[in-house]
Amino acid sequence: MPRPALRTLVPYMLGVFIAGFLPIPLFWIWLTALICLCSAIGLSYLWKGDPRASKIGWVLLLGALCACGMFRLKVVLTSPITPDVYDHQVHFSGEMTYQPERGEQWEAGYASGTLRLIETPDRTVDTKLLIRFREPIPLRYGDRIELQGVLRRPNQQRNPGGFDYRSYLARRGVFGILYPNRGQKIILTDRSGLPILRWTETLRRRVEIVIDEAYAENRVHAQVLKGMLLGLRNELSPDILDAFRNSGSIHILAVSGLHVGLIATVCFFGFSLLRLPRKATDLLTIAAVVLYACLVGFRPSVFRASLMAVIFLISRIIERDRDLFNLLAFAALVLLLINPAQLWDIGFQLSFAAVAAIVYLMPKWEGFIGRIIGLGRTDPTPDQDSTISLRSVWMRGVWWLAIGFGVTLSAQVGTALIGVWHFHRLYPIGLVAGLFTVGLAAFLVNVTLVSVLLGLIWLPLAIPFAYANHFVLWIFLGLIEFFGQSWAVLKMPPPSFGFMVIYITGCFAVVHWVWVWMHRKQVMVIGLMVLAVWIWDAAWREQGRLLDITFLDVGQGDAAFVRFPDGKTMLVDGGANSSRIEVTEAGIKRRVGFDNGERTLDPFLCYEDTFTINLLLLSHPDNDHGGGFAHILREFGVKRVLGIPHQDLSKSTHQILHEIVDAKDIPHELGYAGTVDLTATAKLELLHPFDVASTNLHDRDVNNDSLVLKLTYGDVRILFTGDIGRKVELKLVESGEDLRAEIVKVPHHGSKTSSSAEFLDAVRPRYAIFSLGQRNRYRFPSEMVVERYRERGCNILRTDQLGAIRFRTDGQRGWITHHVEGQ
Amino acid sequence: MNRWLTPLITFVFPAKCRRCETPMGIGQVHYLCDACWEQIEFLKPPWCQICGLPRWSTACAGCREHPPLFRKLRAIAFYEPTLREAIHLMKYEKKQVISKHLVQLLQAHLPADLASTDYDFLLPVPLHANRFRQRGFNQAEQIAQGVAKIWGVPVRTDILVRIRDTVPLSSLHSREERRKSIAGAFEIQSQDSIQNRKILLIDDIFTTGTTINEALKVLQVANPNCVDVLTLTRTRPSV
Repeated sequence: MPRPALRTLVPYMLGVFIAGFLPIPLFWIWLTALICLCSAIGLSYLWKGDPRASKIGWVLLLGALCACGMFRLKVVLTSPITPDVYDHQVHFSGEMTYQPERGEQWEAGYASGTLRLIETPDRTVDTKLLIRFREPIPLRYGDRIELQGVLRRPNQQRNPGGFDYRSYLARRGVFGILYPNRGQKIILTDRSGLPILRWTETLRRRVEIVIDEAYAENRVHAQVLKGMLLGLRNELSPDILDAFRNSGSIHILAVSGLHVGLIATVCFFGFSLLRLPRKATDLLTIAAVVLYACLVGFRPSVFRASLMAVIFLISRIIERDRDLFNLLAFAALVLLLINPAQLWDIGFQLSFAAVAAIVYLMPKWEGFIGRIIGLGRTDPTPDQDSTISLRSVWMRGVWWLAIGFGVTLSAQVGTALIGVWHFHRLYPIGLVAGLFTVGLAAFLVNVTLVSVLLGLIWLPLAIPFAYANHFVLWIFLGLIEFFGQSWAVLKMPPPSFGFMVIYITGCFAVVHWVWVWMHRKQVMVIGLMVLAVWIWDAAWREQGRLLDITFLDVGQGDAAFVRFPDGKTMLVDGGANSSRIEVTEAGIKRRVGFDNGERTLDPFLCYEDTFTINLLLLSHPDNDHGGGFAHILREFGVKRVLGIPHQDLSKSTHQILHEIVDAKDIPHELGYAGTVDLTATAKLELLHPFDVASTNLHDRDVNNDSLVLKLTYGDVRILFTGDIGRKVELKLVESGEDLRAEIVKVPHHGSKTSSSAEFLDAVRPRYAIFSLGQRNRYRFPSEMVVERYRERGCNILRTDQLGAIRFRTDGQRGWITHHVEGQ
Repeated sequence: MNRWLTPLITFVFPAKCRRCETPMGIGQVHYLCDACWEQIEFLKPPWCQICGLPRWSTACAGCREHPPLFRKLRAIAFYEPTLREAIHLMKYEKKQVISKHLVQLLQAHLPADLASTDYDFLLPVPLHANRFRQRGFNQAEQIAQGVAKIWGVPVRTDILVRIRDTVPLSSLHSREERRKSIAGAFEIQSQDSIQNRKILLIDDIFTTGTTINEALKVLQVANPNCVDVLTLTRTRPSV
């Protein structure tokens, strides 16, 4: 089958992909496109009918498409905001864009309009912004607002493996975040926007109200249904979301092809029941799909699915054969033409990978299953007229079960790499869970849809459906909880290039095993080549065993990860955990705040392919040092803990960690001055606390009970100082220990009560690592302290400016890299 | 078709001819390319006056030895790959374009020795109610309507009904099996409307004649003046 859309998509996507990595100037892209196009046209004129010329012409045309992709991406990702506008007071007037998933009260929202600098009012920029309101305010699509605030640049990726917020927003055409001033009144002037979208937003709110009222008895059920039907996830309680995630069923809550397909099917059969002419049925179904897409907002998965559904239905109307791959490619092409940066959108990748895998694998799976159970459909178009005889009902059951499993399997196979790449997680239980949950979810969506439609007419009509639904929902949520076990989740490092090659070739080899067997000699050669790629890739990663220290950017707090040359690992502090469950007035549970353990350390460790921590060292039980450890202790294999004594302390961080450590039976103690036995490759010495007598973990001054660790590897020494103050610093100097170190983690985030001159003279560091948050409320670091380090010829490295700071050393030489270019 | 729309449609819905697999642009009839349509061999006289097979005689030997139940049988063309594909598309994939095109073919190639004045009404071979509901249409009826449009002769669907839902004959292979399966499948609703009438029985395909014969048997009971048969295609006799 010729697939023109696929043929266009591939070079275009390649161009987008290349432009995403290589900084090619726009001029060269223009030139390439122009040359390719002109020579292609020239060739076709000069050597008409020459097969070689036409071949070259095609290649040139592909080149032109590739350049188009590059060009389009460059255009989309070019910021209209110049860097000097950031961190200044600005006045903004504009209108809220369409984002129905935000619900009634908006905590933040995208708006497009005009920025005006307060200082130089004649400078204006037309742009799209993210506005983070100080408190949720009721907003709707198209509301025109005016406000003043500070424009901030979104954060880049701050840690290896971390989330890159700046690129994330840039892909949505957003290059700045506006924080309204304190006490700033947001002025709503009037409302504009497309009437159809305004109308669908109102409809959406009414649908929400109907669901809320019809399912008033069980709020959780109402929330789950809203999530399933409308993709509204912000009301769902965190533990339910976790259960969905762990059971590999989170896609049920993300409106996707499944939902669009269901809606289309329900509408189609609904309209068929009305005995309308076929074409009218198709047209009405198209309208329903478009309406649904408007209702839930145009996320890539929704857009893809509804576009495919619409094209599919059009093909029925004009009675054309359709090729699903071509359809898929066309949908991708349209999406990437609108916004090529979506190629890096997780939803886009997952959606297309899943569907491509299903479309590719399902016919093969059907053939395979058919051969096994002897119900082979050799005829590509099954004879729908054949009546089902009773004998084969059982076989049909097996058949449909196998098909259901095949669909979940194909989707998993297609999305596994992408999921692992982005989330470092694999949810294999989804294969089994999907068999039960997807069917039930389909049923629920259908019934809810019908009940909502009836409820929109007259609310009591929806009630009987709601009762039926409660029961099914109860089973459904029970299954989700049953399958949503955290132990069933596999943690994985992001796949290396070699692994991706192995995986993809492996999949193809399994699917085309007959071909593989026929060509086993050639396959052996290919297999050896692939294996060689993998080995080289692994060797490349392993090359040069170095001591590797990463001072992570955990905002205001401390966290450092050490990998010793023999592969042993150590964490020194884990950053803060401000995450907590908050119950709003409406009784909705939400997780607010930020857990560095889950959001910074976890992705970092997965990225580093580290799932066992040989030593976890907590300098002292303050939240900004130990908060993140709770997640690590729960989710990772920790062998030994220092800094958590067998004592009951009043510090809540200590209590939480102590509980987990006790429950998981991990050896733990406080640790006193002396050598720590961990690895033969490097020397670890605790310098402080000296002994039991000198520590008093019960007083308010736990900072001064911090563990101080000195790490020596060859000639390189690194000092981890926790939050010690001047008092302990002087004691350490007096104790006569050799404090000299090349690198020091500046005590207490650079507070003016630490880093005394005497201490610095004893340590004489060449590099000082300041671990602190941007614009932190303690105003760390103290200017005086920074100056004190600078006077001694010490290099200042701050995580608030540089992101994660990484130091690698072979014992003599060292290399320092940082994750963010200094601002 | 619009000169801009055509490339767009072929871009989004590239299609291959179902029969010869050549890629096709957007043409007059989808699914099958024009070249394949042209390959259809239409049956032309001289033919056997009874069974309509191309023979150099007024009545072929077969018909003389075993006189069939019908007075004459006419088909437009032999059941060969293009038409096989077309009928499959029409019946099982419910492609209305194809059925329209087939009706057009029939209208253009109506056998000259059938005339509108000869018949009181056209009688399409019925589907069982279940099957009709499944498929949504009766292809024989559609063909009959096409003929009726040209001749101005009424189509009657209320006379002959199928009372047994049988397995599709195409899935049975031996003649005996087919005969057994179809026996007693038809019933006449009103005897009077058949008596002394001239009837043209219409179906899409004539294979072994089992279905047609069964229908004829039932019809003969009500003493029609004469029954002729018109089908779209017929299988080439194995001899």
